[in-house]
Amino acid sequence: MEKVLSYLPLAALGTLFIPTLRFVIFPFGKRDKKVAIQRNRLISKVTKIDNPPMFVIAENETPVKVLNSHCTHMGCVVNFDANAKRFVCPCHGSQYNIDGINIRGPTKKPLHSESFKIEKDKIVVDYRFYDL
Amino acid sequence: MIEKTIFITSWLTQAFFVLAMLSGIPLLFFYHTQKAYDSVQIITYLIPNGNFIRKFHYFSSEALLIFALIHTAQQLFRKQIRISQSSWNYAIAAVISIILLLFGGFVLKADQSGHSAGIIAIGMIHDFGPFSFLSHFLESSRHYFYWKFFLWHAIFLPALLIASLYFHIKRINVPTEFAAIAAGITIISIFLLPFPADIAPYLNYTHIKGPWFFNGIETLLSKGYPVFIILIEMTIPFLLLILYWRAKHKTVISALFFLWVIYYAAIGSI
Ligand code: FES
Repeated sequence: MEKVLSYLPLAALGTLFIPTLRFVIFPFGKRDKKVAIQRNRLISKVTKIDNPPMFVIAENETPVKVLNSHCTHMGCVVNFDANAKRFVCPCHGSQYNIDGINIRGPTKKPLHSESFKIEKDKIVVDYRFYDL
Repeated sequence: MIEKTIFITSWLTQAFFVLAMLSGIPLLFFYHTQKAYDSVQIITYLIPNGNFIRKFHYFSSEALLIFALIHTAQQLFRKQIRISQSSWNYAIAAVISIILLLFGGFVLKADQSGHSAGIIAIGMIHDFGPFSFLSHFLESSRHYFYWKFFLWHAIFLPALLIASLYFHIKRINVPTEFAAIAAGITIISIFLLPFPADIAPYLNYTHIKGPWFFNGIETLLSKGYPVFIILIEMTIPFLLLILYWRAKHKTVISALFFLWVIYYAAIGSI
């Protein structure tokens, strides 16, 4: 009996472990977010938005696609190379064409395409906060 | 020769650790995790002597890692190990904490390279199969990106390093002359060695590099190796070190260790 009792403090600590772990690793702040962008900002075919990072692709000033700028390899923020018309990741060199399809480098997936709605003078992007 | 110099590298490692820690404390007063990049720039360019203290922290930390690695290599060339197995294992824990501490410091400078290094670290843990939940220990929301890195860099890892050093050598003891030599080396480095420039966020920068000791990992990532394989590969030297104490044929283990180092240096220089 005494031996069993001597394990009690350990058991008490054990019961605390799971709730504490769940508390610590709670992904606070990770959620989807609606981001509004004024349409008059879309002055070229590819417009870079910094916060949160994304690219709006437009045809005749009408947005046709919104790409999340996080590289699908390890998550760095890609740049747009206007000469080569490609998105290029500065970290390990993944490249994507203007539709966001991966064409070179270590990534195996295209850039994430975000859904959006056009509302009068702005577009509202449903930005997936796979928050990095 | 090794028997004499091994104490010198031990004292120097401890001296650089004390200097790195002391020079990190004033930086804490002005570092803001929510305005990380701006606060680093304020420290560097606006606060009197901020640039000097930042460089002092950087070079003493780099020297800490270099001397810790030299000290470890010296142990492998010794005829016999003169410390207990637990003391040996604490030394390995200390080396791991130093590497992670320096990596944390690299992230916390919060320029494009630091930010990308942080993202890659989270991404790698994310892709590490059953251990992916560990990424939550680093990952916070966008506005608090640096907070957990800061906790590791300023609290948990220094505590772990102090504890492992203490259990490794049973006391932390820095003779004054070694503290003076370490401070001298750091100050000379500040004036003679290049200090990596900060890359402002949102600059269209074409090639971002991580810290030098992670060059090999960067190369493997660029070649598209699966994260799982890379992380397993990175555990090899530490596993060899752990095995070393018990091993009968110590030369085989140290040969394997140095082969790994050569391999890592080679892929890192690609
Ligand atoms: S994170 Fe973009 S190529 Fe690796």
